[in-house]
Amino acid sequence: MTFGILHLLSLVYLTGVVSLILGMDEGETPAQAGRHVLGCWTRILLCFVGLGVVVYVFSLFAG
Amino acid sequence: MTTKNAQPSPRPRPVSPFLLVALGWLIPGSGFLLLGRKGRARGLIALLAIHLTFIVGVSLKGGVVWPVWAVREAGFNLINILTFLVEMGAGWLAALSLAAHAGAWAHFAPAPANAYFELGSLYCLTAGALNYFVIRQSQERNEKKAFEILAKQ
Repeated sequence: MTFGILHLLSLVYLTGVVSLILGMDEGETPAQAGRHVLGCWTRILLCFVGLGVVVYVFSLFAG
Repeated sequence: MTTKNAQPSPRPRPVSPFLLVALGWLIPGSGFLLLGRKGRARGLIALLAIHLTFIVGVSLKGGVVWPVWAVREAGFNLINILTFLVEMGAGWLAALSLAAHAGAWAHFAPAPANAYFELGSLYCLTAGALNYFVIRQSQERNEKKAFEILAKQ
């Protein structure tokens, strides 16, 4: 597995596990907690995709 | 025909906060398991997630490395000390990794020269940080339980 792919998979896994642990105590029912975890995970991933796009655009002007 | 004497059900009691923190730190997720039926699912999720994250980190040659504490020594770095403190949140896993590094036990010891060491250590760091959150969450649940018991009396 290449170095970059491993970092991308790590990003997905680590954001998922952080969302799971922080979100599992939100809401009284498992369904509420599950919705919270998924919403949290999606928002974190979208933030990282946004950051990636910004870095990519900056890289176009480098050198 | 004999009739069974009705045994009074034991009065629910909150768990000792010291025990909750100590055991929750030592075995990630066990703080919730101490809270009984209501904390069982959360405890198992935390236990599995934190252990899996740390084990993935170790398999990537990451782990806990003893930092240089003396300010005047060449290798002193505040970030390394903070990283160490957060990683130690993973309890027995972190202690085992630290012992393996000190004893040069190749299967579990971190390898700072390895290309994947930084990534693996990030997994261990995440596992340690998450356990601090889990301990705090279990404490909150325990306080809530104590309050409910008080309200019933």
